[in-house]
Amino acid sequence: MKVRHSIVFALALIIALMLPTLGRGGAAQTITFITAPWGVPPDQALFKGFQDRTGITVQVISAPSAEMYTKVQVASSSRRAPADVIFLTEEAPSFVVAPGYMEPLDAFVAKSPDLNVGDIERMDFWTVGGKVQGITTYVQLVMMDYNAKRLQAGGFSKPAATWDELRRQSLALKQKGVDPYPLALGAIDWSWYLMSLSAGDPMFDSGLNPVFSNSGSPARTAMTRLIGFFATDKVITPDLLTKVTPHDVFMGGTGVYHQAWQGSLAVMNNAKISKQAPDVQYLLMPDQHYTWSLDAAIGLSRFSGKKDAGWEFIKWYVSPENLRAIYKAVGLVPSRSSLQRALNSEGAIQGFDVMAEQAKYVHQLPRTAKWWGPWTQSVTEAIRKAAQGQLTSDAAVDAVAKRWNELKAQYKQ
Amino acid sequence: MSGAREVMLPRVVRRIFFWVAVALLALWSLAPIYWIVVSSISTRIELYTVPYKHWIPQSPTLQNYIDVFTTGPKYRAGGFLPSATLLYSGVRNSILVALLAAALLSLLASLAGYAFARLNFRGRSFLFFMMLLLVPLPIWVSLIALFQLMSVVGLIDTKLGLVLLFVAYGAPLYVWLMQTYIRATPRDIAEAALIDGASHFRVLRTIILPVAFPGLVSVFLVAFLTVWNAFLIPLIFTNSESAQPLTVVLSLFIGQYEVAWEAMSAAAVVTMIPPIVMALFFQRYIVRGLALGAVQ
Amino acid sequence: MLRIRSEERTAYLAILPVGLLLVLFVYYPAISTFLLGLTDANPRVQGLEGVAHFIGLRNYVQTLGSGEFWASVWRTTLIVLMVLPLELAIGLGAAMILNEEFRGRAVLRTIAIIPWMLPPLVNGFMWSWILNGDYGALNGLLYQLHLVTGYHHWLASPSAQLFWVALAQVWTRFPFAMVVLLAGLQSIPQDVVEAARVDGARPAQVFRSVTFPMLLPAFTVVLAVEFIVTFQIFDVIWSLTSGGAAGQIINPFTKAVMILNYEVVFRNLDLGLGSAVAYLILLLSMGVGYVFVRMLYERGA
Repeated sequence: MKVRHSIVFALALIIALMLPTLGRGGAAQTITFITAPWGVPPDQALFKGFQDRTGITVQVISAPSAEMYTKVQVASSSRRAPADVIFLTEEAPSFVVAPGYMEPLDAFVAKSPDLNVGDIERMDFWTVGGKVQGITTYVQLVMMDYNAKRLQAGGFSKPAATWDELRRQSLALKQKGVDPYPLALGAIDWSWYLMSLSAGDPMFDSGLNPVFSNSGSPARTAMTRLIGFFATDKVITPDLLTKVTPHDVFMGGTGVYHQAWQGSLAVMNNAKISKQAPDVQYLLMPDQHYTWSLDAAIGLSRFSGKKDAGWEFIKWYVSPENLRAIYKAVGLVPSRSSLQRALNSEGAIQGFDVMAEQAKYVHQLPRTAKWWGPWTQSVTEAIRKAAQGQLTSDAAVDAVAKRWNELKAQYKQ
Repeated sequence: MSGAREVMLPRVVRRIFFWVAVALLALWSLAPIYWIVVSSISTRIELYTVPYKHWIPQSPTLQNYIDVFTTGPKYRAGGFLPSATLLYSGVRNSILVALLAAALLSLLASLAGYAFARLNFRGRSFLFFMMLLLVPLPIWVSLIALFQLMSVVGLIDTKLGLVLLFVAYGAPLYVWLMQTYIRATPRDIAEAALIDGASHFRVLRTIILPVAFPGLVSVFLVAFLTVWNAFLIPLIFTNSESAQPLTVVLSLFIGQYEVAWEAMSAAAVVTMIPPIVMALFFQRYIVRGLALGAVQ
Repeated sequence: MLRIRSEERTAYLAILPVGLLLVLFVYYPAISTFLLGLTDANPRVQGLEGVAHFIGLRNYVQTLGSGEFWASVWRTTLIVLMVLPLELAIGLGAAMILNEEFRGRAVLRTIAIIPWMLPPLVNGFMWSWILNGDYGALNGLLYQLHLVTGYHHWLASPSAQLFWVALAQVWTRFPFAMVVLLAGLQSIPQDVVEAARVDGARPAQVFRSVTFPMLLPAFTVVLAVEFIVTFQIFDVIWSLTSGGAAGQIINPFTKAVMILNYEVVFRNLDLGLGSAVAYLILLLSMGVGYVFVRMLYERGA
């Protein structure tokens, strides 16, 4: 009796579950868009307007970025589209573009003057192998910010102009009791890139050889300094030995200087979620001022069957209206120069002056090298081991240079 | 072993130890949960307070729950998909998929478990071994071939697809468990019934399962909770609210720069309610099974 | 033509559904993946148009000779050694408590299962917030109880990271052991236990000579399953020490075998090598699991 009932019950459930799927596929055109959570179009009215106007229904698939890449890779490796349109964060070149999972957009761009592609910045970054792989959606320099009020409490009226000065200030802030851990920099690869670039080290030459490992290079000094911050100066909280980013540490009130991003003030000065509000300001990177950028883009999956509809969506996504909505919602600076100027003249962008100044000193890292992704992992590991005293900072630099060359050999074959 | 009788601890002392153990167990299980509930009614700033002493939040707020049920958090996380929709569909999908998968697993595990426990057939050990062989295989690399298969069959982003995957990957363990529980049941009544001409299915249904009922219930419960907590398979094989379960929906609270813990904990509290209700519901059946077993 | 006895037919019929599902969804992809492990497949190197080459067992040799692989196995072993005894002890203790009759038993049983209901990702984030060195709840609690004078950075050292990963795993998994062992306890016929007690045996003796031997099969299942689950631990490590935001970074000190496998497959896109690592993990898990099962079955018989 019971067994039969369970079988009937199970069959009924199966049928109930299958019914919705049987009625699928009615919409005029449905495309899918896979994105990290902050890439979801924030203005629902605007979004709906696009869908009504074009008859294209857009289904958004949102996933945290690491999981998003896993989905994209699994589907693409089996030669299926993970979605028609794909949001590309700065890790995308290595994970998604290098294996060839994206559709080149040159032809689409050429036939769409309404896109006004000249207005869009950093398209060179997304042009790989001579082909456009994505349209930039927002620009984001890696920057640093600081809490001006607490800096002043430590007796400093201006932020540091050199790394040596920054170190001295941190030690003083610690000693004076302003903050036991005045620097919020993670034990991660980014901290080292930032410190090296701003100290004037180009990291790689045009042949993709690691010049950072040259003897006495600014990058070596930077590594020693970074490790010193953790191990000897102890101006960075030990929690940052395991955390991926220093942002929630800073927002939680620890740190006077902080590795941030272009647009971070909107978050750091939000009193609801940040204890450092409203005193946070950008500082121009010390020493030679150089930094790199983490722009995001949007592109088409190679395996999509609806590329034209996908392209229409892309064009809408990078339209001034949507980019403005994105800026208003999450503080990501739009890729359109005209829009940046407009927003600034409305006084809507905090710290625009420093941003604009910083934007003059950009030196890109070769993220489009196929082996960039795997290499960054080795950098973080080396830094973490060095911070725990398992490697000297010079040994760390040597180790990552060696890994770079190994990977380069493996991929160039 | 010494021949002399040792003094047994007086009953009162033993009772005290027992209740202390009960209290410890409750504390161990609940303390972090209590903190989750507290987080869910706190603001982010309050969570950042040092030294942290807000065991009862100073200004408790339901805003996180409201956010989670309406338009979703407006900071740089969680996306802007109406989180109420996501949460509702997440709960619905999780319940449906977990219930069906657990039911199917209980059914199939009972059948196969009985076969391995009580029946004689050629290749019994071999099949048992083969069934368990691939259980420890990490699923990572199979994902790609599996994705291809699921696409071809059209089961991507479907609840049915999820159910089939969970049943396929979960079956070996539950078959093994049921086999263990069934082996422990007394053979004599079953043998008598068989001699009387009853079919094996009948014996299973009317004699074995009632005795092994606690085992069956625990298989159902374990299966339900395991499927409820599954993350990787739904992540890869579902895309939209038609099939995405809660575990995937909750991961959307991971932002680009921070984890919106106050919101995630509110969502987590909400998602714990159905399984708790489920577990409470099951208490009755475990007790009933005990009663039946005692009659033997 | 071989005659299939009716008992055999019943048996095959009973096993058929499970068998079909396994062949289709488990064996087929697994075999396809195994074949992939004999090639040098890597989408980044070959691109879409390129073709992977057959290289035989080279991936296996490379993995077995890799210091990083063995370091990761060692780390994972440490975690297992910390998790299993604790989890089984707590699970068994909880099962024994819940086996007694007392008021409020149903409530306690539900409470004790709650840690298991928390999605693993949330579990990791929760512990990461509790253990936070600058504003965490554990620090707050200890400070308020005057047990410490300052905030402690719990996750600062590599061994501490492993320890807390183990603890978070024990906390979330012990209900599984408890539920399975409880069902096992409840299926032990009470008359045998009563007889032993009447004979004058002390509770500890009753347990050792009567209860535990009859619990052995269930205990074996729990041990074997939890060994595999713990050996393949991933979510807790991911969210406690690697996660928190976008662009997750793999923490070298908690790089367990599954994390290594993930890195090889999804970061390095080394599909061939990743398959070899996965199968070696299978061999290791199976090997040890089998040893456990043999050990306990021998004792139980």
